[in-house]
Amino acid sequence: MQSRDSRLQTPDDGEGREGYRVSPAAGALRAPPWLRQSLSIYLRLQEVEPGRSVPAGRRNNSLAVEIVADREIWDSFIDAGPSGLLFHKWDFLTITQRHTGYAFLPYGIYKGEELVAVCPLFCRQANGISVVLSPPPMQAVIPYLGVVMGREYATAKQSKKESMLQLMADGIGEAVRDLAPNYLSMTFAPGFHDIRPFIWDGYLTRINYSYAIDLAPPLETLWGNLNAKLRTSLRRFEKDGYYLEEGDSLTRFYETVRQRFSHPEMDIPMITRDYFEDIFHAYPDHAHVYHLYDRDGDLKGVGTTLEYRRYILWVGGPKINGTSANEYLQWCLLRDAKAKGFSEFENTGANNPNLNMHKAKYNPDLAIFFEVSRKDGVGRVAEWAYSNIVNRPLIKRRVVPYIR
Amino acid sequence: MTAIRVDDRATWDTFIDESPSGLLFHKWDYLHLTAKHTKSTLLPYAVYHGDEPICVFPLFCRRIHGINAVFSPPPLTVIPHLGCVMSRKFGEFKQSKKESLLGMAAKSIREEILDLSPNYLSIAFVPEFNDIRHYLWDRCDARVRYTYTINLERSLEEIWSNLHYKLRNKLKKAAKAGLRLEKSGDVSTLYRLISDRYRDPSLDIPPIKRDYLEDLVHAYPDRIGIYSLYDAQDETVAVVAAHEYKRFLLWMGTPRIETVHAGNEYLQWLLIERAQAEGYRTFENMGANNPDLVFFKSRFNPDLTMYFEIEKKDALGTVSEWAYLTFFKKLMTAADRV
Repeated sequence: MQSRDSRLQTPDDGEGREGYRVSPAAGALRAPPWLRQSLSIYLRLQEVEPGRSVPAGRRNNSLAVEIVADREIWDSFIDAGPSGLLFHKWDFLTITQRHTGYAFLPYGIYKGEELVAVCPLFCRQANGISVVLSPPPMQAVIPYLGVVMGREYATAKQSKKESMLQLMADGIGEAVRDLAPNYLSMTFAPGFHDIRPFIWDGYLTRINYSYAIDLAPPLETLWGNLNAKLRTSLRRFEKDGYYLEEGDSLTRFYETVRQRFSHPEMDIPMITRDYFEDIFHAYPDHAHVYHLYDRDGDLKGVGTTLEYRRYILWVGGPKINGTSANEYLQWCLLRDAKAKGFSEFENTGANNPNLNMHKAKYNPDLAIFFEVSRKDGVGRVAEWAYSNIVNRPLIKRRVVPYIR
Repeated sequence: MTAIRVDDRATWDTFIDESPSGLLFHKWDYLHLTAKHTKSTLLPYAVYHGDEPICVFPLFCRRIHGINAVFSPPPLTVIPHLGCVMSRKFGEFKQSKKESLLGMAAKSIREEILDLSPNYLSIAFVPEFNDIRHYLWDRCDARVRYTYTINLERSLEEIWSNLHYKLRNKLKKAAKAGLRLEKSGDVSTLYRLISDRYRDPSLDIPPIKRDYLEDLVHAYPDRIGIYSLYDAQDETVAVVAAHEYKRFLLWMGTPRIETVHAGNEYLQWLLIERAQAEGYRTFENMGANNPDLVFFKSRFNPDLTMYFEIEKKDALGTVSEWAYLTFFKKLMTAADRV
């Protein structure tokens, strides 16, 4: 259980980075200008006084939604529960804030003294339009984010789960009312399936898919489960002396991906290299880059992984010189995940009809995840403009600062 | 791979019986009775891979005031999920084979649907059918829906101990009250209680037609049971209709009857006991989409199971859906036509 008493003691990301800063002891408040008023109101509502962060009168209330401004409390909560991912960790979120320009609002939903759920929201106001997102638009680099329920949720009985979910949804509803966005979207991680409180509250829903491979069976079984043609192909790479190495630099990964994605037939904008550098620097034990070489030491494949709780095949490189070496790279990573003791290997891309037949060859299970959204008239216009105008690669590169 | 119209009851029902996810709603007579009472045309498709059927897909089409609608299931039938049923063999395939077969089956069915030129298409799939990507890629709108299931492959003691403690107390009290459970095929009390309740205009839910309900019970006397709970004075305390085919499905219940007993709770518990004793592996309790019911139903500590609905409509379909929901359904209900 996380106590609320210390939630405002460490006000920023611990490294003095930009973004808002809530420091009740000093009475200081640094936030993006448009957010200052909300936070100011929030603090007044909390009646925060130096040395006492929670008004005694509110401690026994059944619901409270508050900014968790303490990295340690946030990360301890994510570490303790079964469903939080690396995307949900404090530094990942603050790095994302810094690069995207969206303000990171780390909401915690409390029942009495107990932190029962957290929800990182990213807010931005531009041209009179207020947007709240989780995750912010990151070219699928963060495929999902949204709510993380506490450890107790997974083992609770259904009736208790439903009351916890309603509490969480009420808390988010309260936070969203204060932010009053024109457009709101949250995409939850696979496994977070009960979105009824949002449906009942009038949110629109969207269904998404990912692929997950259960790593519990022995490696021989996983191998036997592969598509027969894929096994033949993998044997050939093995015979030809292809080998995997972990890289210590993002240079080759970034250049390979950037060059390929900038080809006219693809023309996919990339998140800036600095973003990846910062994530890898922040999580050297969890974010990795791997290179696949042929017998002569020529690079044949490159991919990145996030290795925290589940082994996620993150941003992958395209085919190099038209070979299907990426198939072997993926098998090598699957073996790596198994050897490291992970229980699940996730391979995003199941929503894409151009990728799914390739990815299905590894005999994964389908994992489902949901997006919920709501928008007013202004938000609908903004969504249309983003999808039809801003989202064009040429324009996107000019107007979105963290995309090249 | 082609979709072929099936005209043989035995072939269809054998496939449904052998499939892991086919429900009573999918059976031949059930579908034909549904077509008859909804005045729609049943199109019972089977999709073959070589000589082997890999799925069956019952579609209903109806032309209403110039609007072509294709459904599975049709509205106002109290059929929560229908859509396609995959073969037992399909479940044993690897994911890549599954995806290629699903893609071909979706394409075959899409061609048949296109021939019908519907303004409105609506399909609610069974919980086991969770890969609706081909419909998403075909620009259908999709919704997730929920139902409650209780795993009966556990001891009754374990199921009992998982109930909410307040529910257990109610059940213990009800068990001492001398309540009596009876199974019958008589729908009169059930129908009277349901229609009385749904006549409340605030509910906006028309009840199932009595003739339709009677025909279904008559067609499947061993598979549809009307369970009534009586008190010591032979007063009705609770009534439900259940499907007993592959899973024990608590299908239609009545609203709470004003008595001193926790009738609905106790009846449900007795049916869980009965289903478990008869070897059913799953007890399904519909109602998880209704915020007014979940508080009651979740106290049995069920699992939450998802299923998906897809919908596609052109401008005419959109207008007709709006008109239907706004006027037609209310008029029909008021006139007791549905």
